Amino acid sequence: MPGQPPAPSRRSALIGGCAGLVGLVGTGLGAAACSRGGGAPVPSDPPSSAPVPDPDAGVRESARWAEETLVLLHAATVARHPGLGAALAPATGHHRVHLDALGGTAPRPAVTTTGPTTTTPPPGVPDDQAAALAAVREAEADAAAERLLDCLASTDPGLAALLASVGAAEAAHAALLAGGA
Amino acid sequence: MSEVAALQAALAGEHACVFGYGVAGGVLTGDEEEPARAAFDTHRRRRDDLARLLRASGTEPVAALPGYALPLPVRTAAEARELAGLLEARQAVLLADLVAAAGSSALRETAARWLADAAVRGAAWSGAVTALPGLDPAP
Repeated sequence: MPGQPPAPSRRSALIGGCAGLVGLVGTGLGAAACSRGGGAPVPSDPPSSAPVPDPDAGVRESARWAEETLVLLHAATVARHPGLGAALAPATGHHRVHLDALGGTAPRPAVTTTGPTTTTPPPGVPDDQAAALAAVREAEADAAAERLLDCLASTDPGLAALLASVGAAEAAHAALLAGGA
Repeated sequence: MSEVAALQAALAGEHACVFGYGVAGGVLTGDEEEPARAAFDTHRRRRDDLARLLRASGTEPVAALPGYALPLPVRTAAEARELAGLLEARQAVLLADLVAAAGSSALRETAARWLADAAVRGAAWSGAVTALPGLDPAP
């Protein structure tokens, strides 16, 4: 019987690992709270019962901030150049997924994406459409490089895989936008 | 998943990619011939790199299977592109596993870079990428 290229099977486990991180933090806090519930006198706030800070909090926050920035850049670019809306829409949606996976919420853009007449041109977006697209492409490539660094800095293996995946998507965005979007 | 198990899974995936690109490369012509050849060579190199890593850790690398069932008939360029995109999407999952299982920063970085490569190559073949390559369900 011939074999078949291996089909993936770990997706849910990996995503579960990321969600599990939140659960672990919660469990730690819960355990600390329970340790104070006994009737016997206990020393106040012993070091062993103190909540352990998330060692990846900085990495997570940095990645969330970067994804929020990309969402806003996409919105501003489409507001200035509505013709880029179709080309950018998939990547914009991906960044919202990234933000959600990282535990953040998508920011409300300061400009609308419904048309050029609803707002003044946002600052920082080039007037030339090709230049604006190139700026988004560059931002995606930069983000991919930064997520790789975040991946390497992460202490949690599940978060590392998530950040590697986010960076991989951004590298592909940059490549797709360079391909004539 | 242990690092060795993840390395073996990634190696098995590279064996499948080498086989698959051998098939796809036989169908793709013109401008698509060179990228197919480059992808075939890349997967062959990575297969060898992974086998070396496993041997260095005292583990016998998993061998290629005698044959692989193709997930779709590959008679046209469109089918060959679909196969190539599928190979990259499936390999991305194994590489995401390797990122998580890597016991060293060097291996994690290698796996993450290969994952990005898989996403970029897959996007080139299919014209699209999913939000979370390697974590989203592969076809």
